[in-house]
Amino acid sequence: MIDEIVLRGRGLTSGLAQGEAIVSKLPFGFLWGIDPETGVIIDKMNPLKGETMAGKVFVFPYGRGSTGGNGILLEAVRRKVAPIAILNRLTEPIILSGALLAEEMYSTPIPIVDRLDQNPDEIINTGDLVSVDGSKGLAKVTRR
Amino acid sequence: MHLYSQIHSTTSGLQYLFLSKEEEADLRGDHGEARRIAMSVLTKLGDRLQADRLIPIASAHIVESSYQIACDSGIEILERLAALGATCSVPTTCDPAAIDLEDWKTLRVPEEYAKKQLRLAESLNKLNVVPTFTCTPYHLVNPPRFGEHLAWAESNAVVYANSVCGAMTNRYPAYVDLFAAIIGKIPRFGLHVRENRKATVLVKLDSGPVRDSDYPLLGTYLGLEMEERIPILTNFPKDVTRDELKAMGAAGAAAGALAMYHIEDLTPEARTLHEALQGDEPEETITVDRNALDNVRDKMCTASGGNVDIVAFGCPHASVFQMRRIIDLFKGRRVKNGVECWVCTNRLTKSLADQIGYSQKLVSSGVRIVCDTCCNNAPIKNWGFKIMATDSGKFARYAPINADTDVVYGSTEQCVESAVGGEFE
Repeated sequence: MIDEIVLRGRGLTSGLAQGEAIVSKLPFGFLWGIDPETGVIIDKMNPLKGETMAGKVFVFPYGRGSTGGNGILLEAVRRKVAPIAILNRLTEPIILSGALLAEEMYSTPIPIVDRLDQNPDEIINTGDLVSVDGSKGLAKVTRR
Repeated sequence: MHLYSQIHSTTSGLQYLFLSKEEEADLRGDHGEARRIAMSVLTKLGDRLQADRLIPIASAHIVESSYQIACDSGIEILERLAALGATCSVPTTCDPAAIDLEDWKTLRVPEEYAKKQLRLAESLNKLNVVPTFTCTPYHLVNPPRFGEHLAWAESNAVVYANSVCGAMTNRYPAYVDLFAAIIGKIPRFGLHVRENRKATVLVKLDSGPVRDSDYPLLGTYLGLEMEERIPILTNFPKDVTRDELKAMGAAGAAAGALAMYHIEDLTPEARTLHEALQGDEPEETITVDRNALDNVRDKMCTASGGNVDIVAFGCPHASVFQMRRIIDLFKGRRVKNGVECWVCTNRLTKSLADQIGYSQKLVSSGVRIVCDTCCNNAPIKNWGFKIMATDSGKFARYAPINADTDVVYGSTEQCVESAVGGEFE
């Protein structure tokens, strides 16, 4: 049986993306959070350490840590190992500016949707298939 | 205002942010591609954050000056902006680099890495960024004034500017800082709005006599407890130094997302409790006792003591006053063989220290003066350090990740003793 959920929220950046979810229950900072050359999570405090977010829909509650985190996300974009979409409870300027820069500098849209009708880090599991429509502020989740 | 928004959304897709004719021209690219790029990102960011308009800034302080943050994409972006003729239109300083720009070889930085940082520095020059390479611009060439709006990105400098100087800035991300510098404006939201600077948590200090090492502990406590809230501290020592306030804010910003604090009858927006609370009652009242500070210290340390192989001072960058104190504490003794002891600072402070003989005294004690960078920025994993002792809450938070070490936190005096004896007690 296929279990499908549609989440509605605020679309912050436009773009369409579909991929596997990688879900962090912890707030996330990109500086020392990922290796920008590979997209692999290196944050020792995060249980996802060793997993890659390259080509996936990255779901986490909100951003934290260094104001230089967007530089690391941007380098991952340049090397084509960045997440293809982001879902947050609330997106703060570090993450948001990273996606705006990715579009402006590398013509790579990263649709971001936040303020969804359910907390995405609670409702989505790592491995679920997620389609994100940034313009409409929609995320469609298919359980795997 | 609503009418403006409606008219506006038909021309540029913005819902909340109102732009002047001149700003719209920037957004169209009438004043060049560099200003178009800068304005495009600033306006989209501002609109999503529901800023109502752009406001002029007095200065900017940027963080993509470190290759650690900029990476190769940063080199590309800064070189592209420089080639497009971009230039900062307000006084703009920059954060530490990822290497000591003159002495990177003795810091064991790989040549390939150093070359990339030097390339980044060249672009910063072309963009008219003043190459301060320091996290303490507020104590040097970029002192904020009360009530000024800034676009600053270094987290400890944001806390200091908001709290101690009464200037107004959010914790800006990399590149947003530079785009604001190019345009000379920033979207008005968050801490640019007077009402949002209101204290909502009353923090009573009740720890007995306050020692120098308590300030980073208190900062870390605030960082962990406040989240987005702003505290007003009471019963706070009136003899606190600027360097101690600097250390407290840095620890708070590193431990959480602290962007501002008030101290009753000490910081400029808190001449009285009433003023800092903007006439309201606090939503929460907390008492911080000795026990709370001891608990924070336990959280900050990943080792309990014993042999140390690096002792790190200068986070944020050390002032000459802090250097003087370290020299006094060494009492002419030397760093133990096999132990590294680093004082991180900027080139301006170093040249002053050279002039007054502090550098020579530190070096004769076996201390290494690290310029332009620090243990959070430089690639120092290859030193193979196992345990770091530091008097900085921010080093205690980040350096172990950057250098892959364990950490013990202590007073400046404890750290000097660790450097001399090779053991932290």
